[in-house]
Amino acid sequence: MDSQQDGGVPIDAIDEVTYWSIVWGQFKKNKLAYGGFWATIGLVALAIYAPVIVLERPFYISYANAEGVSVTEFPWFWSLFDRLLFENGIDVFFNILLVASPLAILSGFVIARMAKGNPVKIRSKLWRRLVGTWLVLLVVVTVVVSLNPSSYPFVDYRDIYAQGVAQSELAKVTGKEATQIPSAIFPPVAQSFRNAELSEVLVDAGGNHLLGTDNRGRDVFARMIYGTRIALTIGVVAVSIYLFIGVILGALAGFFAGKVDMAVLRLIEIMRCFPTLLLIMTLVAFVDDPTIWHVMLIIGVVRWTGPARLVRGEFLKLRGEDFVAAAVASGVPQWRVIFRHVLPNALSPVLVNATFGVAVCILIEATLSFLGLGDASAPSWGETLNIGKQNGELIMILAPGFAIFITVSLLNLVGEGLRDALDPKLRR
Amino acid sequence: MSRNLTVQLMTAGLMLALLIAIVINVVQFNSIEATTLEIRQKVDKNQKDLADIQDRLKKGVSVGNGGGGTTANAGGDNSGAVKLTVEDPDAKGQLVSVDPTPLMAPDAVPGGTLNIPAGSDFKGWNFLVESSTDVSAVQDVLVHGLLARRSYADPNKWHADLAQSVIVSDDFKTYHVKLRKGVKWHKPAVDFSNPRYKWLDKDHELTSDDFKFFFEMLLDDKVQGAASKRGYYKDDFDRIEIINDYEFKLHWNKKTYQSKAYSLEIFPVPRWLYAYDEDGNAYSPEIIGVKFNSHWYNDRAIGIGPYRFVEAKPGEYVKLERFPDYFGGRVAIDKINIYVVKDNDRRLLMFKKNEVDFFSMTPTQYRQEILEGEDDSPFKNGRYTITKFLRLAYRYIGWNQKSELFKDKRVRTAMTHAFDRERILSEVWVGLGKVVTSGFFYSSPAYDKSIEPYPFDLNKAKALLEEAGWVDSDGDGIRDKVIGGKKTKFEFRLYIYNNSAEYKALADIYKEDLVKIGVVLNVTPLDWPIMQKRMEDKDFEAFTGGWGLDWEPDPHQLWHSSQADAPKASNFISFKNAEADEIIDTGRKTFDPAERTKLFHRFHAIMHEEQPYTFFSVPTTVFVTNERYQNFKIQKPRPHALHRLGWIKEK
Repeated sequence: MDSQQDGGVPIDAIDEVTYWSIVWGQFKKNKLAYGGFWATIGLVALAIYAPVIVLERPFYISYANAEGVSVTEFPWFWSLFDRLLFENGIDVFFNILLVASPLAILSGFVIARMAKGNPVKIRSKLWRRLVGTWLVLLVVVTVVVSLNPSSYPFVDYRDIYAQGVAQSELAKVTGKEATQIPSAIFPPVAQSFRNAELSEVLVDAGGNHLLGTDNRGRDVFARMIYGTRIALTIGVVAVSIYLFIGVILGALAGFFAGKVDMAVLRLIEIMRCFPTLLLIMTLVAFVDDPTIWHVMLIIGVVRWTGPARLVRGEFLKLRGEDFVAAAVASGVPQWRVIFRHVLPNALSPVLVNATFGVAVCILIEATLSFLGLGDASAPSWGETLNIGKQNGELIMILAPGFAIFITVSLLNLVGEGLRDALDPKLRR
Repeated sequence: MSRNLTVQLMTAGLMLALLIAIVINVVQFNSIEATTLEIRQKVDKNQKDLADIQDRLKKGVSVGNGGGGTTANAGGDNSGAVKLTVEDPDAKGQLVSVDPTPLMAPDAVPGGTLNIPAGSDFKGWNFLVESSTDVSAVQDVLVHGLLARRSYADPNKWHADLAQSVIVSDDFKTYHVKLRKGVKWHKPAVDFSNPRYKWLDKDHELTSDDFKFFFEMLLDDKVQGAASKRGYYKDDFDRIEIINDYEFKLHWNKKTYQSKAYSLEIFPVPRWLYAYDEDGNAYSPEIIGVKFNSHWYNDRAIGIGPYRFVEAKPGEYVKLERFPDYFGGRVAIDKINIYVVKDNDRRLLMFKKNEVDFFSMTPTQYRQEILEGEDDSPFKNGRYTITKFLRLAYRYIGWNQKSELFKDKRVRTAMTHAFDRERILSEVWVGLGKVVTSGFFYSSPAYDKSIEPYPFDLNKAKALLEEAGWVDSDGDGIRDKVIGGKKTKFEFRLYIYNNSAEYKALADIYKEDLVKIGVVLNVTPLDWPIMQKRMEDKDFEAFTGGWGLDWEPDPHQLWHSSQADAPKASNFISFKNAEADEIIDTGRKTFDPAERTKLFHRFHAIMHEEQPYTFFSVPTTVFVTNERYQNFKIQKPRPHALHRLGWIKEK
């Protein structure tokens, strides 16, 4: 998309300036949006590295087992892909990311190093290949891991550790021969996001439980952290689904105009007649056992009309341009004209729409879970909010409310920054 | 400039004057209104007093004729209470006695309106076709149409109601009923100014024919709504024999214990209304069953009880008013409004705002308002009255005994051991209930209290599973077993009610405990109709459920093997046990209370041994009444039913 054409500048210098580097430079000027962008990256990192912060299994434990033999285990690493602990596909995906993302970043550095000094075209090609390879790899690994779930017998390591310590203390006091003192490294918050502990129901915040526990004795803080995963996935996946539908339909409508346009527009109008939330709630009610994937799919199927209209508008504007006429005249097949020539030029408004869309989807999911229509097993923020409301626990209302507020605000900041950066009229 | 200022000042002054005038006016109007209101209230009160006096006079006269004891003296208690009599109370086989409790408490003040909430919408008002608890709660007050009713004090005793005498033959096969004379039906709730309904505008007296019509409709297969009520009569009931307008006999095929309750709890259904279409033309015998099932009057109610149906708005309210010609005497409350409020929180809010006079609390509300409430809140300082009682019901987890997983009783027992009943009850249901070990009502003699519930013990559960052949052979943390040459993992699905926060918590907790013993539980919340369908199709592995109980137990419906394969029968889990069958059959023929108790205790032991269900708990219901509602009482066998003894204390 190097559309800059100017006479007297050396060809290499032109090469350095791409459309996206201009946008990025523009985006950086908006300090709030720029900060928001990095905070969002931080949020993603939090979602990916949640088990490093919160999990009840130790990274490493060494203790004397029932027969008195010293054992050293690394339960944390095994539990990452234990379907008895992480039963949700989202968690599996994020745990794979947890392993893969450092490698991906590393390979990114290597590529950057390798590509130094090459022209932009080659560099961007390399980058595209890198990202593509990683995406394919991720999806393949996630599917393989999900289809071949591994699991391990349940062991309460916190209990083993506590008992071992108690025993050795007892041995110290009684002066008996000391058994092995267990040593272990737990994550900073050694709490479970799903294990119900009936002796600790509705514990107040503080102490072992940073934000207290809910009415099943589950740690609220742990659920908040793992809820980040749910929220972000919901946002991204649901938006991807509706972008996919909306962009294709919008592109076809805009490009062919006439009857196709008529049909798609009527379809959009029909969809927009129904209040989105009501439509989603109706559809969710039809699913017997709504999992988090159903919820995403339903949100995606319902909300595609926005991007469809945007893309259609852009296409209507662009289809008369010379470069389209040129492409058609040189015999390029229609699908290629649509998706390779016109679409890249029509995407920027959709991108802004998508950023805001992620925020909206997070809100919708929280609403559904709050109403009890979401996935019952996922530690969603909305569900915590619902339990908090049912039990009148202020902290369980404030914490998820705050988390939703932060996430949605950050995404909106980024969206706004992006919108300004993409708008040529605002460029200085 | 200055001219302008003057104009502005003048305008401001004018506005001020106008404002003052308006204020004065409003105050004047208000005082006039207040006076008017006062006068109107006075007139109302006078009218009420007058009606009262008339009432008392009327009752006084009728009592005098009936050879009664009370006279209507102006300052007397039980104003207007009629002494109902039973014909020859000492006759052999006489089943009914006189209810000694007066309809109006001695200190009761007549008049007032009672406002109560209902949890769900009323689908219809034909009592034979509708069977939801909300409708039957109103039926008891309004229709008051049973031959006899169970005593409040001792539910094993029967008090005469529409019958003046019910004499049972020695072989318990024939019930000879003599009806009370001069009992008047309510007038239908139709618009009599419309000439179309002129044919209904007359008084009708209760006769034997109304009971005959009840049986005709009950036993007609075309009346689909009565299917659940038909069950018992279909097998053992023979016929009704009309002797005259006030006398009839009920004949049964077999001598069965339950026939007594089923004979005494029948209610009349008026032929003069339900056998006719809206214009007063009689239906032909071929179509009457279908027409009755969806009769034009089914959206309203007809009865002979102390309250008359006035109007209903679906999804909003039902209004009842006192029936002045009620044969039993005067009840205290004049009007009853029932509001349909589905949301739990809204019911609480309405109660706090005095819009309803009583409601039943959810466990969460109980915890918030009573366990954790401020000491000076009206829930705790004595302003509201809290009534707690064990409901005639129980909750359980049902195991499909056709499933490979739950065929073995050792597995089912292990499941019970892994289910932390005591703690779940105390934490999730805030202790509202009692852990039970069988389906008999906890406070009834049939329940054997000597049987201790299996304790929560994961090690015992593990041992039992291993004994049953479920071991973790491949070290993946999930138990497995080779069934029919195929390795099966112990993983199953539990259906729970969709709209209950408590059941969701129960499932979450149970799931975590089961993982610890190598069993994977998946939870699926379902709406009730879908769940019911899956259960009828036997398309489930396990589900959470609850049953309401009869005062006199008859385990046939749930536990008899004949009900295991019958379509739509309630033995969803396909429980079959030869000894249990025998006890059920013997129990139906046994009349001696001690003998029955012995039988049921044995049955209880079988239940405990077999664990067809993991019996969970009998629920405690918490009713809250405000200071207006006096003399609130609960009838043990039918706590959901409104009673007629309350009165309203206005400030």
